[in-house]
Amino acid sequence: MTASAENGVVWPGPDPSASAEELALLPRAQSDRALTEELLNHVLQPPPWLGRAILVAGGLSSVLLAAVLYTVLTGIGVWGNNIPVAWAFGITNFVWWIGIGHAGTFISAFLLLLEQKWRTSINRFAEAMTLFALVQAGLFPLLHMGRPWFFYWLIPYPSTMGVWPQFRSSLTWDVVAVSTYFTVSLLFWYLGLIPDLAAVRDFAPERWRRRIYGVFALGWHGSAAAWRRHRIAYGVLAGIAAPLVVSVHSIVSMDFAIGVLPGWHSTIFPPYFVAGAIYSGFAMVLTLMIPARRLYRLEHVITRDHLDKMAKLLLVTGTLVTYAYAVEIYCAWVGGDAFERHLLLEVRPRGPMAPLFWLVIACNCGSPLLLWSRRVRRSTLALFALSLTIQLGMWLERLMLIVSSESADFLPAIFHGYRPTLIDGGLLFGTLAFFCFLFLLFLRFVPFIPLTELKALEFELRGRK
Amino acid sequence: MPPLARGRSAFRADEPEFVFGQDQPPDELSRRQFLALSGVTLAAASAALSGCTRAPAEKIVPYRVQPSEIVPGRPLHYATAATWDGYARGLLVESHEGRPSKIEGNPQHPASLGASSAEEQALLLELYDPRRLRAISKRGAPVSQAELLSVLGAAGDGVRKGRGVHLVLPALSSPLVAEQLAELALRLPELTLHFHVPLARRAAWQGAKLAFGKVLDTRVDLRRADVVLALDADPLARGPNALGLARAFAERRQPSSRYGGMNRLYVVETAMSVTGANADQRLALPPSAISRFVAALLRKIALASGGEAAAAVAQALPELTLGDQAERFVNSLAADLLQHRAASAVLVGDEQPAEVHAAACALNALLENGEHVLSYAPPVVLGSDRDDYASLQGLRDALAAGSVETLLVFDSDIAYASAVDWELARLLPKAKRSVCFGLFRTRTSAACEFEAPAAHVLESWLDTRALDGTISLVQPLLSPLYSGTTVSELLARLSGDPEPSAHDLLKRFWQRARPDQFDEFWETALARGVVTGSESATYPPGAPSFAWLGGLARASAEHGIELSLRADPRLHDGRLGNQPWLLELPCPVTKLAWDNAVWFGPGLAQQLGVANGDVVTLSASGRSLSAPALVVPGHADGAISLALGWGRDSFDGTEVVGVDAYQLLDSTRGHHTRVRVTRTGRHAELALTQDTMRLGEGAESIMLSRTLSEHESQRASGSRIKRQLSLYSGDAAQSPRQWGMTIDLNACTGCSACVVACQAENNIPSVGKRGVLKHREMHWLRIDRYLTGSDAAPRVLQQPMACQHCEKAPCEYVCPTGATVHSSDGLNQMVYNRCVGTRFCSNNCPYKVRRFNWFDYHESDRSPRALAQNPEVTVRARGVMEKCTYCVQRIRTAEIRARSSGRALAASEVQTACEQACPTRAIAFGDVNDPSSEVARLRASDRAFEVLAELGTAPRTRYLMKLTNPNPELA
Repeated sequence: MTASAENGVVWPGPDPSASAEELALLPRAQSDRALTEELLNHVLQPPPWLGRAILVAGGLSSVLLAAVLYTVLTGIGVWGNNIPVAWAFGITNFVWWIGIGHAGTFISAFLLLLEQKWRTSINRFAEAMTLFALVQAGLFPLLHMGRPWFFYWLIPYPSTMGVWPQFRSSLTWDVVAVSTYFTVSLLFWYLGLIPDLAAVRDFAPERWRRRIYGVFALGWHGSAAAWRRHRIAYGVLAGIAAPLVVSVHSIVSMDFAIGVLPGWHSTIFPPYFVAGAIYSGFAMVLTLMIPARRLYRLEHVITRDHLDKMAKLLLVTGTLVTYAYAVEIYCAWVGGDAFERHLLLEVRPRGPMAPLFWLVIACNCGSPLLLWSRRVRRSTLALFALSLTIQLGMWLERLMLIVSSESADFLPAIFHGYRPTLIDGGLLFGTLAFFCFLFLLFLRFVPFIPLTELKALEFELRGRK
Repeated sequence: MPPLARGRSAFRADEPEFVFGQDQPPDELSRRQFLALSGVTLAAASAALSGCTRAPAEKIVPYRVQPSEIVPGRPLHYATAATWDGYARGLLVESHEGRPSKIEGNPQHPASLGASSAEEQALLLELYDPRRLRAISKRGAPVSQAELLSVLGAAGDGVRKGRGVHLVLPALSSPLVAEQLAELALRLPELTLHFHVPLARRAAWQGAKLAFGKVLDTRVDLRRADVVLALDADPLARGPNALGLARAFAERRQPSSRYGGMNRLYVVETAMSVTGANADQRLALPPSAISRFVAALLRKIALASGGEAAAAVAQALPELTLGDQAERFVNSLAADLLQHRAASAVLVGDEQPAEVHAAACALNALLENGEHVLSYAPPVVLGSDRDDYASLQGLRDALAAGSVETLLVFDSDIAYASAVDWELARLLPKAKRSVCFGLFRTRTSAACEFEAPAAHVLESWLDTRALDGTISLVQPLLSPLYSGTTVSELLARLSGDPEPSAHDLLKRFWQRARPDQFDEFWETALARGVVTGSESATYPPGAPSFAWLGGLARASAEHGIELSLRADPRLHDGRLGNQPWLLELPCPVTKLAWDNAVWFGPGLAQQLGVANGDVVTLSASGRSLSAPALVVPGHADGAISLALGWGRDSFDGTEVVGVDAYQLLDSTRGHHTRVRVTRTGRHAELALTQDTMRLGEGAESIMLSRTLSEHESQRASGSRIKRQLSLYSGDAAQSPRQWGMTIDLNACTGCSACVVACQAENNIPSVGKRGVLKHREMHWLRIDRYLTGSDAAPRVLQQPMACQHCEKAPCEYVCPTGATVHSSDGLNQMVYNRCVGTRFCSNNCPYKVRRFNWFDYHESDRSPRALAQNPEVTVRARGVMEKCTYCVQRIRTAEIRARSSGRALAASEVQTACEQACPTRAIAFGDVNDPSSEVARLRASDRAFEVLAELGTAPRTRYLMKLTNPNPELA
């Protein structure tokens, strides 16, 4: 690798070893100017459908508002939860949304550290998805409380009552894990965004827009020193964010693993949950990326090669998840614990929740097998369908995991099923709408393809023009 | 020209502007009423502040828990008595500053022995029921008392001698009322008296009359019976002495009882009952087959006994064929009974015909079950010697003939709880004048001209007698909330007393009866709740006659499925029908709440294609009734059954709960009739708190049950129940006193009295049918039920399940706010204030005994019902967890009491509410570190086990293994 020094910044020079495969990530050689104009145009001159889409998503988000208000004012009884199924949709949604977020961090931080060039076009996208998914996820632990107005009792603060949270509970670990994760994700995303915000500021035709973007660009002038510090800080944050990918969902999994219930009380949960989280997150990235790529005509920036690599990662994580399922069942079978055997060998595959179980297996273990085919991996339509299937499968998996263990744990006398209410459905639907709403706002106001990074990649691959 | 404005000119100047009762509904407050009430409230509040309460004006005497001075602020206990179907059950009522807040059994009363059933508990809720009648009304409109008094005065007019006056009373055994009725008969000789008793013991009395020539009640001492046969009877849960019988029965379930070894219970019945669930040998037969079964048994016993009986029976009773299974059963049973001559008891249910009761009398006589086991005495119930006791046929005829001038009904819903062929609901308006005294608006009171409030038992002065004749004085806990009348006051008024007082009537009566040292007698009787030495003498019955044998085992030529109309194990005849505690109490047999369903045996259900919740129509002689079906394992095939007491009319717009089975009760056929069953295709949701569950894998870690012989051989071989060992000692600061509980599954009958006692003590809300359907019932204590064996002949295992107070509690470490923590004396505590409601504790509780306040269950309770709450227990807000506390309020009260009097806490001083109510003393509570305590002794028993011990939770509640004593011949 050669390097050129300019303004005190060491830029990686064009990489003579750049393979055809890597070159294919940016198939069309474009000048910096052309790239800037094209990508900033999405923000400065948004497509006409976007405003309408934002309105629709915003309108649908009112379902969330209504459901939240109703729940908080009336009581958690408006959900379908019962005793024994004290957690159901709420915690399922929490785990699912958190899991979705993981792919974003994985793409931006892990792949950055591993110097994967293909991450560049999609990382901001993925990070935004992480943030917005975390916003949805964070709602549920609050809402599922009997008395949500006392949520701050889970936070260690010097209370006048002289009491602390009870740190042996994984729920207090959750608070720490999720809030750390959100903070780091936000900083990481925003730090990467600063040069691009400055670019919008510089290119915006209207004064008010220059003002607003100027505020958010935090006075970025692109000096070499600033670039140097920026890259160092970005690397450090990536270093902090990367372990969070593993730790956050490990801790979330402990909400179950530290319990005594059959089907929860298992040491396989942390890796199993992390794999599942990244699995569903990649699926979500694909779900968002495929339509956006098409609508914004970005096929030359987000190429089929990008999709292909994402699909391969889906295949890997899907296989990990399948392995975890198999190990869980095998351990129950050889373990000899009557209650665990009953749950994993009877209740789940053969009990009243069997359709759910087999749907989960079909979605999460069966459908990714199609990705062995190169044709499927490179077909946007097939990938889009698969990404939806996998997300559905992962949501159902969490539901099955949570509800089946609760509904049939130890004493058969209190075994009881679960039926969600309209409010349960409304909350899930509402968060989906709100997520879309936030994402559309992101598309509207923020350069969603990292401009500077893309230019750097272009430079890396093809040299300076 | 039309007037420009229709203003005040529309009113006539001499008319009042607002007429109370015309311009607005009378139950809404007018401005004037509001002001008047505000004044009254202010006055009442200041009166209350100065220490005044609703205590009765007369002196009432506290039951002395401890013979020392009264401590202000400490609840007092008063003894009184409730009357069910004429028989008394002693109560001990806790009163906080003049407000009754909890009902217990009176330990001195023979029919209670300190225990109480769900019905007694529910009396408290009935007292504070917001639906109680509050004022006298005529055709729904409030009227003055004078108007009612003029009707009563006319009825009691001595000149007219009571012609055309019909008086309906509930079952009573009061000596005072007996005297008043005798006086009334002299004054008004033409008055017609009726007793309304929906579930009368008439068949039993008539059976004794057939056998011994006299109406008699049977008294049994089950402690002396080695073998017990219950024929369609539920002695452990129903009847005038159910609590006493359950206690005696449980005593003989212990392998080492001081009255002899473990007894053996045979049950032959149609529908599974509480007693049936505890049977060692059970046979399910349709009602008609039961009399054949008795006939076959009588034949065998008589032939084996020889003598006159053998000859009479051989002549009158043919050899009956019963079918293989029943034949085997009756042979083994006869052999067992004969082997335990003079130490057995044959008991028959009230719904069986008189001949079956007569057969039981004969069997007991042939088996020489003498006075020590079984004795007879004339019933204490008033009117029991009348042939038309509990029959309203006479009233029906009089109403139909239009000869009823005045109908007086006291505390009886004759239009609802009576045979449908009497058509009283239709005929009641034919009475020229009618007055209904009652606690609530009922179908009867709605059809009567006048409705007037009656006094609740906790507001009344009266006396009453138990099965064995023991007299109790009924004293009020507070003066009538709504100026209700007692039965003695009504009778006195009819006798011409213008201003009767129940207190004076009672006191004067007893002054006449006990002139010597009356004051001492009065005080003692009130304080103890029983009149010492007032048991009635037994009646030596002599040899039974066999003249009635022809009526036994008559073959029926009728077709259709037999329907057995049973008393409900919770609601009895429906008297307490609308109390949420009882409605929400899961049926001890089926676990169904808020409904009565038609019970089907599994075989019949399959044959008819009926599943749980399918609505079926039962039709018989032109009448039909639709109700949901429920498949009950162990129910006799060829018959179905339905509980009475449900489906009471609702007058406050709430949903009617269950279906009214009285609609199929025909006075000519009794409780057993034949119906046609058709499916409607509709489906109803059944609020079952538990499904019919079998213990599958892991059964041994949940429930231990052995036969007596297995247990004894295991004990002989020295094998022990495995206990978890731990390398760790407890890490909490330990106080020397450690609370713990044991529950003897061998004594528990599953009657569910403890569930309601817990609910009453701990301010546990009812969540309604929808709440139960969502599985959100709040009972801290539930009774888990498991079945083993076949569906046709299951064995039932019951396990009361509440917080186990685990030493290493899984709920504690998962709570993020530390809202559930361990106390140094071994309680798993719930800190409601600190709970944010994550419900992780419930998820992690292997016993699933934690309950969550899904809504603000107490917020809407602005009715007098809130007065029933225990001031010692926090009322939980929305969004917090709750669960059994081992009645921590009782523990702390006892501790404070002991500390302030400078003594050590005695081992038996603290009783939990469930323990106190339990008729069989299955529950023991105390300090496990105190070697002298009962609980420490039982924890170390070779039958003691922990539920889910392998999880390492070290529960503080241990269970004692259930033993059964099956007949090896029938195994």
